[in-house]
Amino acid sequence: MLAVSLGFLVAFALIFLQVPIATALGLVGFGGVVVLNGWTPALSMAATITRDSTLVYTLIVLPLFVLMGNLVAGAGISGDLFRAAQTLIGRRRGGVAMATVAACGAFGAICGSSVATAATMGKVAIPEMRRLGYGDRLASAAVAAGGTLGILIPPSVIMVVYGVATQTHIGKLFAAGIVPGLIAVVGYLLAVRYLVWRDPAQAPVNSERPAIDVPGLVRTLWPVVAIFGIVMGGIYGGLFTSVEASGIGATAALLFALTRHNLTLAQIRGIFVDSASTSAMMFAIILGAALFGEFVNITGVHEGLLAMVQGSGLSPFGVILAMIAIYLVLGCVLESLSMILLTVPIFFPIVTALGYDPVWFGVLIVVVVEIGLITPPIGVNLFVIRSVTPDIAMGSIVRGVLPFITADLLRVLLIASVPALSLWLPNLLFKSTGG
Amino acid sequence: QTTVIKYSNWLPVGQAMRMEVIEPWIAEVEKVTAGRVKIDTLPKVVGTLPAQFDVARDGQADLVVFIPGYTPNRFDILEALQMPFVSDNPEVLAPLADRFFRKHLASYGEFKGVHPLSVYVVSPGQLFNNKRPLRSIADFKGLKFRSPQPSATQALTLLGAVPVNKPVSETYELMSSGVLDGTLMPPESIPAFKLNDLVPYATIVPGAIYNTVLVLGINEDKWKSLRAEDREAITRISGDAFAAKIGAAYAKGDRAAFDGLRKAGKSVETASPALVDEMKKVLAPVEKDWIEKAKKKGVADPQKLLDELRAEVAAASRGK
Amino acid sequence: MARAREGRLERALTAVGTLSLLALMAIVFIDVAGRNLLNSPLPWGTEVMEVLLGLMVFVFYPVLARRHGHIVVDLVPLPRAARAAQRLLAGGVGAALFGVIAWTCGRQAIRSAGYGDASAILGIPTAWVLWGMAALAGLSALVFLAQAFGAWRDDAACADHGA
Ligand code: NA
Ligand code: NA
Repeated sequence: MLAVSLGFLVAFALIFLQVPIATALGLVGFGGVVVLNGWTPALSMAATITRDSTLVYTLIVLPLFVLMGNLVAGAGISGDLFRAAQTLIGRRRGGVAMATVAACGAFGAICGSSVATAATMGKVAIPEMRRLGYGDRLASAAVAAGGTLGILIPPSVIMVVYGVATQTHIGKLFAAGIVPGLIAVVGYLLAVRYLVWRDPAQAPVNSERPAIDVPGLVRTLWPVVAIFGIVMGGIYGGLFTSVEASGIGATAALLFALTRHNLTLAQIRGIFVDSASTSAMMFAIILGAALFGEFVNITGVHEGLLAMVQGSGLSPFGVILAMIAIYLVLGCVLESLSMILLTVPIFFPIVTALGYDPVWFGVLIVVVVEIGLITPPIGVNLFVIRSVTPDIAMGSIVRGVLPFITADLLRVLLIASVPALSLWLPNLLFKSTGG
Repeated sequence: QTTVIKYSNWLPVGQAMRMEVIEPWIAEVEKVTAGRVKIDTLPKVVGTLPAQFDVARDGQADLVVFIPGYTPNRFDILEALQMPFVSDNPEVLAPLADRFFRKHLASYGEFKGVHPLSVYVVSPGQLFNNKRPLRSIADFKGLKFRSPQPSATQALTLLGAVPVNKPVSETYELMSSGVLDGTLMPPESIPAFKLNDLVPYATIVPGAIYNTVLVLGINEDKWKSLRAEDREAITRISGDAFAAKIGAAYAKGDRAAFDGLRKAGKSVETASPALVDEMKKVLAPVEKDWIEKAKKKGVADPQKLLDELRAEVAAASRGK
Repeated sequence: MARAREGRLERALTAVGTLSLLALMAIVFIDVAGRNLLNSPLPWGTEVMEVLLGLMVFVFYPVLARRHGHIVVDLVPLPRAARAAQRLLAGGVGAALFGVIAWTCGRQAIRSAGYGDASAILGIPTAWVLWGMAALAGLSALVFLAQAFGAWRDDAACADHGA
């Protein structure tokens, strides 16, 4: 216990001194194993971990889903979706913010990452909302929160990482995210309504009344429906696995991007470079967290924690609530990938020992981790909004997201207490029970 | 004083090898050494499955179960035990594998750095699919099978099936979504992977298409650091005695799996002698390739080794 | 002159990583299409994709180090006086970790060559893959080391965040 606490302390100290998260975790983990086991085992461990967190077939989904999201984003789908949502629900007060949330949800269905969703929607929706006189608070928060839908609505990079780490059926995880994803959209729409009600100045009534143009809507929506249909339909129709779906989705997105005349070959090449670079950055975190995780494993802290849980007299649901609380605290200071990689090896055995469904726990974790994306001080989506529109004050974004965080918390409780919300669809699609 | 041996465990709770054999063995080690040797099961596997040999060799942990087939080219000679048509009964082959290894194979030193406490097999690979009963070579044509290892891939290709190399963790998804038509798999694992309803046709090949060797191994230096009497005591309860218990547990698991399939009204058929003869002819290259490899690694007469193995299996089977 | 060479190296590494990503996508597509349409999947698909994935990731490690591309939590702005010490710390940690990775991958490469480890179908020698990883990790360590001592201070652009 002491060794682990010390390890976490040193790692966090380094992270706060602006050492990259990946190298801080990795070096502390390696150093910890040297102290506990000696040099030879530690060196051998470093080699094993390096290979087995990189040269892994299932991890191809990471770069390929990132690529897929970046390609559809680059092809300008986000703008189309936003405009489509605007014609449908943009007329009422706050309607453009609601359209933003809806467009984020639709974009999440063809993009595997939250950052890509927030970044691409931010570029389109924030300038438009500002033009219409919306307040920065509402405009930026709607995008930051809407962006988190990218990892809950399938496909999802984070679900794949969870599935690989715990050997949980990825296809089931994807299916399990759909209903909670729709609930999330509804929750965020209500959060927009609340913000508008509290502070009507944030959202002036839209004087522009774009007519609903059905052929235009069809033109806009078909690529989204087609790509989502190819990816999910292929998985559930038995044409390919959820790992392979990433490559098929990326191929479909590339073909779609090539048919769009607004993208040059050089731009497409740039999208590939960015996707590979972003993925390598994620792999560095996976490697660092895996080295750190090996150190945690050797200390035997899992057993100590399990004994503590069993001796605490908490009900199984109480344990889940305690875990949620830990995630919320961690979510304030860590980003999603390292958070999952650090906690899942410790929590997963406890949760399954309590008899909970791994698919349900996966959805719950994604929802909780998502909150971390928009909680200050370190919420990746908040930074993304800042980098897309640098003149927005951090304070406005933070105050704006509070109602969205409230919606998130209510949703976490709902999903935690009603597992059927997550499990109904995967059990329907995959007939058999269990994971 | 007590020597603590750190065991890197990858077997899930409830799994037969762990519950019925390894955990009792761990308790027995403590007993036969009068508490001088204690085995500490780490909460999570150290490193990953394919790395377990290195984990023990470099002392990341002391005790491991490793699967030699996961690192192709490294343990070529040992692959004799994995050839087609050796045995489909782990009750016979598991203890025999340990004795055969010590008598004929240990001298080639393939496990340098790790002391093999027991060398054994688990259940053989058998054929499960969702299209049709396999009654002739023609029935294999075009069926997409998951292949767990290179020799199985070669065998499936020779039989006219389409081998697809995917990790075992994806088996359920591959089968449930219908990406594949079937899988080569230890019968015992069918219920654990929840495949009962997904593979209505089971085909038992007498002698099996392949076996998978596993080794319970300990870091060589750690082993040598134990007192001679403790080493002796542990050796007595390891080796073929340990292997025999594994073999019995897995044979039981195989029977239960087949019974479960039959009870659910699925087709479980044993390949006819005519089909087996045909398969032997078709699969001859698997054995030929191994003989070449073994020669390169310094085995003077690999064919003789295989003949001897099959003769010993036949002799041991008669006793059952 | 040195700048130009450095730029060429960076461009070459980026190109290799980008092509690996393209190849990953193409192999999945060909494998799935082959399996479903022609009943002939790529038997070596899985093992080649693992190597390509490793290549894509490891060629980008030196590039990420050079561009300050790793995720950093810049919560508290550091005082100007502490910047040099912070650079030394961050560069030192990165150099140490990637140095360890280079060293240990090299060590495993030698061992793998001794065993003759190779991939199952194509027989790609594991040692080659490990040597490649060792070399690229070593290059990353050098970049971190240079940064520890203040190299490329001028263009230390703000790190981009993501996940
Ligand atoms: Na998504
Ligand atoms: Na946060």
